[in-house]
Amino acid sequence: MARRKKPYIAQFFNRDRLAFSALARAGHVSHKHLQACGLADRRIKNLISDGYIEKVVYKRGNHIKECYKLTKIGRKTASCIFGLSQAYHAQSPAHDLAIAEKYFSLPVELREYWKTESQIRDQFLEQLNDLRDQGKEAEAKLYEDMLNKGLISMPDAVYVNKEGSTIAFEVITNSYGEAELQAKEALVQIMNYKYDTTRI
Amino acid sequence: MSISNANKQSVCEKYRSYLEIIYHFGNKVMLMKQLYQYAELMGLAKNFSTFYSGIIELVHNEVLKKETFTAFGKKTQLQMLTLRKYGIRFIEGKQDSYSVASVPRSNGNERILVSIFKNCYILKKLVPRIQKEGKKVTFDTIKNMLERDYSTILLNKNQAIFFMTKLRNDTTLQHLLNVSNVDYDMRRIQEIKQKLAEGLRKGSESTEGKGKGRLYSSSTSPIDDLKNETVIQAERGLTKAEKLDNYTVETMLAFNAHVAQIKFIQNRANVTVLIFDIHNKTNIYRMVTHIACMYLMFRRYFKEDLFLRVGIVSIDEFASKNLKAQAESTFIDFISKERKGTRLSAILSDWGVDALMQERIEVQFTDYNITNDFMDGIKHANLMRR
Repeated sequence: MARRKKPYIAQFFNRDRLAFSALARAGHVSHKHLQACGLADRRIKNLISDGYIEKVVYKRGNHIKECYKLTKIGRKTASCIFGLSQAYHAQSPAHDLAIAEKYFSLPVELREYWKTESQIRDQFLEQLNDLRDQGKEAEAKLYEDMLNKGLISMPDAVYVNKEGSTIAFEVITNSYGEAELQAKEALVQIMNYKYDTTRI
Repeated sequence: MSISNANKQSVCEKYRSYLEIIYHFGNKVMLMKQLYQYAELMGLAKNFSTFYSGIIELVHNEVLKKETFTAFGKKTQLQMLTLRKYGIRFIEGKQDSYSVASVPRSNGNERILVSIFKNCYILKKLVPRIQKEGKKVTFDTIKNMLERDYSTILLNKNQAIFFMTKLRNDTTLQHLLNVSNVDYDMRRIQEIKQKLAEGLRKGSESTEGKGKGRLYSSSTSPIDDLKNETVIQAERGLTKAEKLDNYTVETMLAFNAHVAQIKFIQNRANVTVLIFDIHNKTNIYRMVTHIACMYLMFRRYFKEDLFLRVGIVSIDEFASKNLKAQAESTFIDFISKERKGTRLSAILSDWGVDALMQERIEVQFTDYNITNDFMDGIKHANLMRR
């Protein structure tokens, strides 16, 4: 069979940037969301055949549904071309789609302030260093130990709302234990965020 | 209908300065936009329309070729200018067109991208320095400035020998150089070059001037090849130590890394190197290994300890941010899961540059904003065009 040598996608546009940033920040994104970014059906198909994203099929109740996530090449492209480093580590589709729902409910200009889990971690470690610089060695040590023991855990995302306050966002599934939730709350207190959760 | 040589000659003489700029600064290809910037700076053209009519005259007389820049089969609005054979012959002063080679028709964008990066460096960094000194910007002042910096920016691949000879013959540097090491490397570069030329000649003889021939073999029979140690070595790949030993200025140029400036402060060399990430594809590991090799190479050349500044030049701010994030991310040991500082220092120490030496290396990440300035803000999926 004749194979197509030429890739389908030659140039990236702003609508691709929006789609890639949504995918990199939320993990899984539904078809509807990609269309909201301005991608046509054909473009989504082309993105799949060039290997930037892949289709994930999952079951929700009695329905079989589809959503999309970035592949390894896609993550590389996102960081190379759009500067989206530290992509969110995609988890289960249902969990991530709740995040995507939140992400798309924000107005476009506020989406740029969205932080992924690993970005929050970096910020937290930076804050620990700041504490050390201020001479609060004991406090920093305490937090570090807590982090190592799993008493502090990062929420799924942090965003800024219209009023300008920073809010930590967490999707709670039924597999979460009590200790885990407390660990997340501990971080929210330390970093002085507001807290927002969704139960699915 | 062909154009007579007399016509071409007269046009060439009329626009000599344009041709010289394209030939020397762009390695025979250049973007029209950048050539216009030069023309403006040097006062060669009053406005764009006079400049453009000059270019069109050159194109009509078959001295230049005007092409659109394509990436991945998609044409863009950019125009690039390529010297045709007559133009090259005119600059080189050759009598007939057999004695010059034309710019090869390529499937890749490498040549033009290298030219864009080099000219960006000259236009953005060098020209302001010349203006600061209060000199007029001309072809000669730019060239002099580059000479004074011991820069390799104008050299192409396989031309490292010019840089080496320059270092070797500079009378003011003799007491700073480790002459025997420089000589050794020069000899090695020349040997490789000779071997290459021999292989090419043999190939062209055996195919009556039609084939290219094998590039690296100079033996007569395949059995000799087997005995030949270098062939076996090339097959199994080089080890780390060999890579470090074999690193020369030639390797640097092949990687699109250029010496931008060598300054001497209190008999200590301050070397500035620019690495052009032309395809926006290179990962940090390859970058940093080259930096390590470069540092060790310059240590071989200079007697005193040196200071190496490396500028990694990416295509736009996103690419440079990405590389910077990669370099500064924490390195976790694969086996012991131990955190060992940044990736940059971890790779450097892995390649034989210890902590003390690392203090003498400064890595900066910059960009020339090429996507917005020269590619109409279009982000190409792949600049290689293959």
